Amino acid sequence: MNRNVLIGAVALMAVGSGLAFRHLSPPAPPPTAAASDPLTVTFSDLQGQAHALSEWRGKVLVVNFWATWCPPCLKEIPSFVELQKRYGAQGLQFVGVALDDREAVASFIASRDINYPILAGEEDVARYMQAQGNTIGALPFTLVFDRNGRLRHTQQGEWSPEESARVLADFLAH
Amino acid sequence: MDKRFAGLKLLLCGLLFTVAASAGLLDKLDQLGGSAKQQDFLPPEQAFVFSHETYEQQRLPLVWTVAEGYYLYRDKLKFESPDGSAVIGKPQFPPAEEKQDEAFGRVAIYKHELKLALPVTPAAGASKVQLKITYQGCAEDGICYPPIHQTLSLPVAAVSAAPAPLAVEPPGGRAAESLDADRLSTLLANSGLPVIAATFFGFGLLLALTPCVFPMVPILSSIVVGERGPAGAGRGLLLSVVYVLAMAATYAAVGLTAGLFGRNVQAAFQHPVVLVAFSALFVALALSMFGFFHLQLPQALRQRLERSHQGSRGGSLAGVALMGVLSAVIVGPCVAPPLAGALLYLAHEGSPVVGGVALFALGLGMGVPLLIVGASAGHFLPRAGAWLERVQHVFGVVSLGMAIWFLGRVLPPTLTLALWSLLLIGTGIFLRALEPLPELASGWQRLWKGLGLALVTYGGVLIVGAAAGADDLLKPLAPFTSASENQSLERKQAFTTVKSAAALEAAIQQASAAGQPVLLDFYADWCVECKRLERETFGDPRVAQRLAGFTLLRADVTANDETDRALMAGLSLFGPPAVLLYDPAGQERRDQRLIGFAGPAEFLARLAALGAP
Repeated sequence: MNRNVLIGAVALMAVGSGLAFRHLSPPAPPPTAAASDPLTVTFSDLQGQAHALSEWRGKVLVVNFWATWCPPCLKEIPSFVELQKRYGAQGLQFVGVALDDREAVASFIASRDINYPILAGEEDVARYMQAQGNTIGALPFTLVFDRNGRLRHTQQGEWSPEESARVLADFLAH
Repeated sequence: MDKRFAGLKLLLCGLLFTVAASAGLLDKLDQLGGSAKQQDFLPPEQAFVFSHETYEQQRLPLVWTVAEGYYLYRDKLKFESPDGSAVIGKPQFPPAEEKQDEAFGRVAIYKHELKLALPVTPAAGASKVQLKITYQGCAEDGICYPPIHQTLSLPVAAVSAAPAPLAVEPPGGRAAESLDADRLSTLLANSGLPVIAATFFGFGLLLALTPCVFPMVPILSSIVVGERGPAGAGRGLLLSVVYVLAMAATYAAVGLTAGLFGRNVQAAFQHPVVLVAFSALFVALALSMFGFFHLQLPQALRQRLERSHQGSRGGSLAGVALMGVLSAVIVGPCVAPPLAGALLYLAHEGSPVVGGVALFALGLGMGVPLLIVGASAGHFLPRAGAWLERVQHVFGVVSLGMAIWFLGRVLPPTLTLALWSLLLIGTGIFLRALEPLPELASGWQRLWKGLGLALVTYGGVLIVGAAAGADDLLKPLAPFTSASENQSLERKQAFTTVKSAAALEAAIQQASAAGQPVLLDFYADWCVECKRLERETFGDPRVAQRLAGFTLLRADVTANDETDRALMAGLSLFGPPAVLLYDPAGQERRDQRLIGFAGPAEFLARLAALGAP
């Protein structure tokens, strides 16, 4: 009988010390995360010259991803040309980045009057779009950065002339 | 007495069927839940689901299923053989719809479905043909997808129904180096049914060497020996064959289901309800082993069996077959990690025949050592008697252990540890650990008391560990060795938990915006291999150092609820453990996907292949 009491006592003490130890264990510090600047990316122009998007830092920068095989992209380009003409002086800058073959892009823009820079790429463009939230990789896809280089608007799919004019005028006013 | 057993037996059988049926039902429900979720725009592989049928008579039937509101351009379809291993003829296009396009004028498009037979003539001497298929399409609501490339590798003399795996190239035409989910799939791609069966047989032989199959040996030998003394070698072999065939048939049923549903059979079996039911089944078996009641077939059935086997010794064939089925169920979870690879392949295959044949072969392979035991048991095993009772008691303990092991998947780990401790202490006390030895104790009595004391002591240590929050059966005092505790706390903190597919997507985007590669670990509290992976591999200093630049994500699927299952199904996973690696662009490297456990060296090799900083 005595022995059983002893065993019980030892077990109780062990459980108690275990519980106490659990509460004394120190917590670990939380991890930290770093974000990189999305404007540091570079794409080639049609002559093969690399341009960083940061070249246009300080302006309200609209980066429009498009392709010659994408009808909705081609449809919205004239309205972008119009907006560039109207608000360029107030610091609005469009940049077209084509996810396409450079030659196809060159022959396409030769027949149009596009008043903003056109860059092109393939895998690098696809990867960048993905990093900016275009997980399905579809076009058109448009990003708007404010004058401080912060991403303020993401447009997946066609951007209607009214809607783009309204959003951009709002950014230019600030 | 017999009437009571009969009722219980039926109850157990009913329970098993309920379990199987509810697993299938859960699967169906899960599918409904998955399709109800819709995003604004579908990812390309869902907007345009591409598949192909068997390459026969120099024709390859191709099928695109186009989601509602999406369409494919006829003139953007391209078929090439990049390495010249085949000549591709002009396919007969079905009539297309016309669409007035503002940019391109009138274009031919396909909605809903496009089926065509592609004429493919292999080049002389080519054993495989390489095809690259390109297609492109848009959504009506104003977005277009970049051209999608599918690379196919097809065996020329394809006699089987086994299609080669698909390789989806990401937009932009990246090299198709990541073909398959794992190495087993690679091994089996392009092979015919006999090759698949042979591979799975060999795979089963290997599994037979794992401790998973050992418990079957005494089960079988006690059957073969039976209560009326050892059977002859021929009878023993017959009984073992029946046992092994029943076991293999059980696996075949699983393979068939995997092939039919093409979905996560295993995950359904991890549902808490199913696990608790299994656990109850094992407790019942254990009680019967301890002699609280006698488990046997209904009397009428037993008498009929006995009549038909008059003069035969050993167990009845039907009983043996039932034991075979039960054994497969018992051992199944134990071999789950390697089975996951097999099931992944079979589900991908989508053919019930291939699935059934493959897992039947697997079961036969696992049964080979059992056949040897069965054939020889009649010679070297002693007659039934007191020793058989002991064996039954051992199995009672093992059954209770299985019950705890199943419950451990749903209960908190600390509570599970406490249950283990109760089992050990209980067993120890039955071995008379705490009773004084008689003065003239035999060597055996002393041995059993020693063993009993050891069990009681370890059980006590487990209770202490459980109270301190330990969760590892083999390291119950880990909370007290401060170094390892701090480390494991640190590692747990370093992982960011993601729950849903959307959260995962967001986390990967965030990481790739920061230019970081991502490690996604599928974990569950009940997953023993996951813990081993965490402790031995992620805990390795070299691995930890290598992972410093990674965003570490963890999907905790302990609950295994609908969200968890949808997440795993979306990634074609069968449950933890699984480790997925994404490059800094946020693309998963399927070729480096890890299913099951890998030691630090192997894991470092995978990280190196990722080419991360």
